[in-house]
Amino acid sequence: MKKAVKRWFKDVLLAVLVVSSLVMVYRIWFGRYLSSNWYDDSLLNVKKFVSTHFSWLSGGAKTFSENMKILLKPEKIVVNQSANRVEITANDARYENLRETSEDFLKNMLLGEAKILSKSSASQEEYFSALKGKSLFVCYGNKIDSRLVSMSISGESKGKITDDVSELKEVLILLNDNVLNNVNVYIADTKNDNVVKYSVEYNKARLDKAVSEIFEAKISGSVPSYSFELNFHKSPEGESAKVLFSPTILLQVVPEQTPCIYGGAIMDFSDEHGINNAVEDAVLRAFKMNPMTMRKFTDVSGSAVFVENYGTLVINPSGLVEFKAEQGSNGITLSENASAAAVDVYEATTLAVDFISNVCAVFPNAVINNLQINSDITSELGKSGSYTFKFDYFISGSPVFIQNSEGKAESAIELTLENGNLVYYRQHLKEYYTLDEATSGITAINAADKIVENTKEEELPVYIKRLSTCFLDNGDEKLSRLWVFELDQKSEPILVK
Amino acid sequence: MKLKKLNKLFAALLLFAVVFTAFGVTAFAAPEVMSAEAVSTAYNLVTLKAPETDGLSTTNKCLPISCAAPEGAVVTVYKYSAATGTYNKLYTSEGAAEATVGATMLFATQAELSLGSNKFLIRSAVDDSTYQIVKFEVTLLNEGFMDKIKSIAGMIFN
Repeated sequence: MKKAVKRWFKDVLLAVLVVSSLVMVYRIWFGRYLSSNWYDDSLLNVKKFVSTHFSWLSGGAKTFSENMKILLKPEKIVVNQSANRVEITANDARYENLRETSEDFLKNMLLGEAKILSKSSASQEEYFSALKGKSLFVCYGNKIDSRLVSMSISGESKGKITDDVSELKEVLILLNDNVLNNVNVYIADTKNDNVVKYSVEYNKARLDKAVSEIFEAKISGSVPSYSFELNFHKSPEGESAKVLFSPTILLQVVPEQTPCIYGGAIMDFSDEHGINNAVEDAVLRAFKMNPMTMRKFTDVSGSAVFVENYGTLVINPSGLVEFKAEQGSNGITLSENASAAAVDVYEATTLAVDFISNVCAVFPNAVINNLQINSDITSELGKSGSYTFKFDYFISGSPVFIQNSEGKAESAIELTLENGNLVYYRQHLKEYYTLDEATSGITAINAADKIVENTKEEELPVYIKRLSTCFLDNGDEKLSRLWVFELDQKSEPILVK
Repeated sequence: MKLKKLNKLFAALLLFAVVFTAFGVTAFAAPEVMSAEAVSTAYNLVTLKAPETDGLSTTNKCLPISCAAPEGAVVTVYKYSAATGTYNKLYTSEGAAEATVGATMLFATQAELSLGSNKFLIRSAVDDSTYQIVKFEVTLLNEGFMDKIKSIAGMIFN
């Protein structure tokens, strides 16, 4: 008996020693040496290890299509019924239901579960008329490759529309006012301006209900008008206009109350001892930096600088993370399977989305949930094999731009890939919250007045291709909404207060 | 003695400021009511952009109105009242449908239509006596009537 206890004790001791040696080896190879936060660090490392290698335990890691669904959302959904029209953005409680309902229908259409009865080209007049009918107008804001839209909606990159439309900004679902037992879908191909009309056999009861429910409650404020309804998209015959608006821009013609937000660096990102170790480890791991081989120092601004042969990573305690590949180096290889030549816009986006999801995995869910792609993603983008993507935090339906030290407004994330390799990455790690407060703003026309005032006579007419709103984080606690004009003549957007 | 003089000077300045401000405001304010027979005293002060045609018929209760006018002109929208036989200044939820045109030379507003005929007048003025007016009419059709046509079409197509 005594012998058995002794043996049992020896076995247990041996097992503990073996496990502890494995843990130590793991920490030396993949982690960092024991620090004051060793408990938190270990917990995070274990969590990360489990989620990576035993994903079936936690219900599976997020797939690309799931990440895409989070990062590629419609900027707004315009619901139209007779005289009523309302823009629903992501901050609105009704947004998710509308998105789910419209995407459910589109998924059925893309996967061929809802039969496409006919397909034809629609004239601009027909498209404008459809926009005024009972409809859901799903607007992405940017030009997006149709395969990516298909992936975010149906989980498949090849759908029923991807052969007809190469890139798109908007999808119009027209409910036909109950005349015919089908739904019409209009998609304008932004590459060739051709509007493709699909007639789809579908029980539209759910779509009908979603539209009707929006207008059951009283809608406050004025009804926004499309630029083409006001004839602001063309010059009068024989006269020259000073400004022209893209036809599908929605304009509020009376001043509105605009929301305010506040925000700052992510909680627990850094403290008086510097950047949180767990955060630092996770970021280093995402950038494939090996603690055994890299060099580390702190610069005068208090930023932690990590140097590897292929690039330099800087983490500023304010929440700015910046990676630059060394000149002559390929940067970080993200595409291991594909050959460099095979990295097209679709492949590049999958790499970018997966990389961002990986970096953000360590932070609160709000960080990735508020992020959205906010730049065009088309084949034009990477003609030279280089793709630059921008992502922004969207709060109250508007992106938050961050003012840099030179006074320029930057996106939350800017990422450049060259032939499947990450050569540049910048992220402002911030969190924002809505305030139950509003300020009175100016109308879009008044804002456009300011643009024209600052434009030389020979550069007129100004052509506004996109009009949206944003917040500018200039370090102030409270941020108010600004107008964002994207002009044909200018590569950078113009912000107007 | 000096203080009394100073007080008087301040009072005079204050009175001048009040009178000047009041004149400043009223000088460019458009009248609340326009006669049905009103005619333009000047031209090239306004071009109606929307609605494009006079005598438009619609089932949409909300009518977008837009026009082009020179920078600095005060554009005001009036709606005809059959009861008084005059055009009355239009008011939206945010106040009068009136604005001073900026550098874009554009003006836009919207009006809620009543069933049947709706007559509008747009006045673009550079001062009290120099203005151009444009009149147009829009008819709001009963949606029930349109629904009947649609249901007949539905029966044919389904």
